[in-house]
Amino acid sequence: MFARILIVITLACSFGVGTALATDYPSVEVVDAYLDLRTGPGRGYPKVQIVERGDYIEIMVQKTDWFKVRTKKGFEGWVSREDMERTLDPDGDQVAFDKVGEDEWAHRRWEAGVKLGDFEGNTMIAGLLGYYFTQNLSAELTVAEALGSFSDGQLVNLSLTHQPWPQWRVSPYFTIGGGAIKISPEARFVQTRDRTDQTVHAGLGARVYITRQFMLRGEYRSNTVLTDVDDNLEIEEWTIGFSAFF
Amino acid sequence: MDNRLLGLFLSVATACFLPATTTFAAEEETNIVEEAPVIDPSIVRLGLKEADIESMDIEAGLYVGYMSVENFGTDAVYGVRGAWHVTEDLFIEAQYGMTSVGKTSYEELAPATLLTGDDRDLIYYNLSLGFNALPGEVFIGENNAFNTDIYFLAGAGTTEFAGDREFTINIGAGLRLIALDWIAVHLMMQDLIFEKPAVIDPADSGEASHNMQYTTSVTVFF
Repeated sequence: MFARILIVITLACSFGVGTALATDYPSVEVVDAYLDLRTGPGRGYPKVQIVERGDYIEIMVQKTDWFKVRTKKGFEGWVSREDMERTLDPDGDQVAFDKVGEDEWAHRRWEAGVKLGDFEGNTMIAGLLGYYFTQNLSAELTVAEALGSFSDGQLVNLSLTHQPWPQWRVSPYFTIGGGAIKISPEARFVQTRDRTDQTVHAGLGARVYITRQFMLRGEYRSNTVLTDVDDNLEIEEWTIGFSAFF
Repeated sequence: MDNRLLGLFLSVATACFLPATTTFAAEEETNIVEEAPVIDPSIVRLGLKEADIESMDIEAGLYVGYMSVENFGTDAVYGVRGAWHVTEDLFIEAQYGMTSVGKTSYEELAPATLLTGDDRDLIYYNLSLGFNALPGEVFIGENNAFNTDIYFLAGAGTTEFAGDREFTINIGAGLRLIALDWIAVHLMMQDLIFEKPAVIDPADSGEASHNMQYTTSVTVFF
């Protein structure tokens, strides 16, 4: 990443730098009758060249499931992951790339995602980051905004989440935690002030594995805002979300 | 006697020569081992892992353009954007942008001021799901062809404007031109839809305002 930023700067200053940065790319041997090269990293781009069996190609970069390769003659094109897995690596073994899939689902370590929903009649939008201590126990940080007609709220909270069956495709979980909420009344009610209160919550939800490293999640939370006045504020929160695990 | 001498001579000769011959044979053997095998000798890496290949699934950059904020005229907008390309078709995009709005026609005509200071600044962020719908190519001159993608995106976020924070939905379309493998130029138009602020809609009818944004951006893949 930093190297790239550096390249941008260097390239802006002088133009001959590109060749000096040329590196040794890993190369593979074509074992199919031929290998298609496309002009771009997508199935919609046209095939413009083939590489014959026995030829070596250098793999330059990867974009999603596509690899940019260079042939011995210096021709560059894009090869799909599927085709790339039908070549031989330097050891003479078939190339096999790791795929994140259902096998990793139960052993996820990190989770990052977004949620959208209803916060006692207000629209809620949230981002979340989770870390799994074990398969069953994880911590989750949520930063959220609840936008309403009368007031807006900004929330930060930390939850401890327990999932009894992490390997299930539909995996339910329980969550408890606490945080803070800042409530700002809308501009038309100028007489009131912003205020920040502590919150505690408990809830339950489910994560649903979709494909690759993605999941959907739905959650219900009951929030209690610990106000200065006698009565605490009870807030019901329903959200649906989308997240990726790593 | 002769035979004994001959025998001695032969054994001495053998004793002298044999180590030499074996050394020679060994050298030859080493040479065979060291000589290039059938496989291309320039390959020194063993195995191939995806981590050995540089991936370029993250895109980040800056954008500038114009944003037409309903009732407030059109002003320059600028922001940052980042995207994660999940597959060749789908990407997740985040944007953070800002503009400073002008006067409403009411403010132009009457000696009145609806918004002051920071309230004229419109700041938004949003998260969208993008779909690369139409891949293609553009040709510039005789020798240059660039890959392009026409994409559509939609998402949700928040807009802070006129003292309020409003839930914002965005829909848009753009053209991404891949100038180099790691650098792209975008042309994009986007509609940011949020409830009209209280100064424009004091009765709080909940009417939506459509705010069109036309931007150009330069992004880097890494």
